[in-house]
Amino acid sequence: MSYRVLAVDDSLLMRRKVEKSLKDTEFELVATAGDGEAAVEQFKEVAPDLVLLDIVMPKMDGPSALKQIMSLDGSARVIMVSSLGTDEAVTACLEAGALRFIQKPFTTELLLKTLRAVCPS
Amino acid sequence: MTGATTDAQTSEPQVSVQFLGQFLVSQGHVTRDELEAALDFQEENNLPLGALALSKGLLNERQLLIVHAQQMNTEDRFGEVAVRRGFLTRHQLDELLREQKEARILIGDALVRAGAVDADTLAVAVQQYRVVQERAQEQVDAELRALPDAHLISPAIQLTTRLLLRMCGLVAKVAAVSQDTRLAHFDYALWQEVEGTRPFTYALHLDGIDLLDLSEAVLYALDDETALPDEVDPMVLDVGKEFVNILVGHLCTWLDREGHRTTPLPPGSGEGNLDPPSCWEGAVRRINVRLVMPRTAMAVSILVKPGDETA
Repeated sequence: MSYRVLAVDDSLLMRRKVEKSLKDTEFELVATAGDGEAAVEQFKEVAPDLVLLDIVMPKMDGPSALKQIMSLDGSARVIMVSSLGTDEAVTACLEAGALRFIQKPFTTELLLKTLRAVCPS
Repeated sequence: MTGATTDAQTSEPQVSVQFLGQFLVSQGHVTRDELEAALDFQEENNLPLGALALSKGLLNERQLLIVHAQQMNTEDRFGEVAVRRGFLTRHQLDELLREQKEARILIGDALVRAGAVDADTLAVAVQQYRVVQERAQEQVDAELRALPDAHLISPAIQLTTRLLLRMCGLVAKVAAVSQDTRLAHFDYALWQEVEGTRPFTYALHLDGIDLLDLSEAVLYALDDETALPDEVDPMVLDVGKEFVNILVGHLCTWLDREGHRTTPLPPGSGEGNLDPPSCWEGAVRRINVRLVMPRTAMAVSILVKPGDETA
């Protein structure tokens, strides 16, 4: 079984890093987005099993996109991925429904371990 | 080459933090080309610990990348992380460190070996360099400590030099600190504005060739094999901006623990010596910090709101 992943980051570099990390694993990258608004649209369109969501982005930031995604689907599985690891940002995202937080830069090993920890059973 | 007269060659050497090779050039003992050749020779022969372990089959490439990635979030040295991860035994690490030290070629040795300078001249110059550097370092440290925004500037510079080393293998020293003055020319600026209780903008200024090198090193550190073009393009700028984003994210995390609320905005970039933007209306105070590396220089500028330091 493969899990469908949506990766959201304004950096093409980080979107490619996710794509490469998921290659030949049980995770399939089905869509990407470069800002929060596009993330919400992609979430509606592809209904992914898992979302990797950056915090600092243009147009709409990660926390705002997270709230909209959670209001669309309260059981959405979202992992925040950001270089910003302040208590305030992490706590706000976890309280808004994110399941995990990964601080950049991250290893492929950590990304896969975190995705596996929150996979729907 | 010896004894050539340069502007910097006076009875009282110019006080400026620099690397030994740059000092030898400024004093006219060697030419810039001779220094470049010696630095190339050093790079070819002085293997970093990870590369040495890889060449001996003690680590594989995957383990090397894992250690490099973990190092970015810690002050720990390569060997310590590798031992902690169980990739190397303590005995293997000690042997590698001994071998690395014995084989290490210093820049002075490389210049003498190439005939650029004789050993006696070098010995005298090294002594002079140590005296000048001690004084220059004290001066820069005092300037940094005296800044009203030291709470922000010091961690910003520490994180910059740490990430340049961890992600790009670049050793950088703080060469000069100035306030509200124009920078020397750099081709590009990468910046990130930060809103919060004490808003600021962080900007990294560098030349195109260094931006290409930095981007290539960041890609390597992230295990990305994408080939970059020979000239700066949007892809290269994207990598550079992500480097600044990672740096500022970690800086904000540190400031948060010190009780400052911060919210970074998306990073930006521009060409030339433009003034980076700030997310507040009104006056801006700019602190410029010049960083030197063995081959090149970059600058960090921090924009703050005047008066915030006493808030």
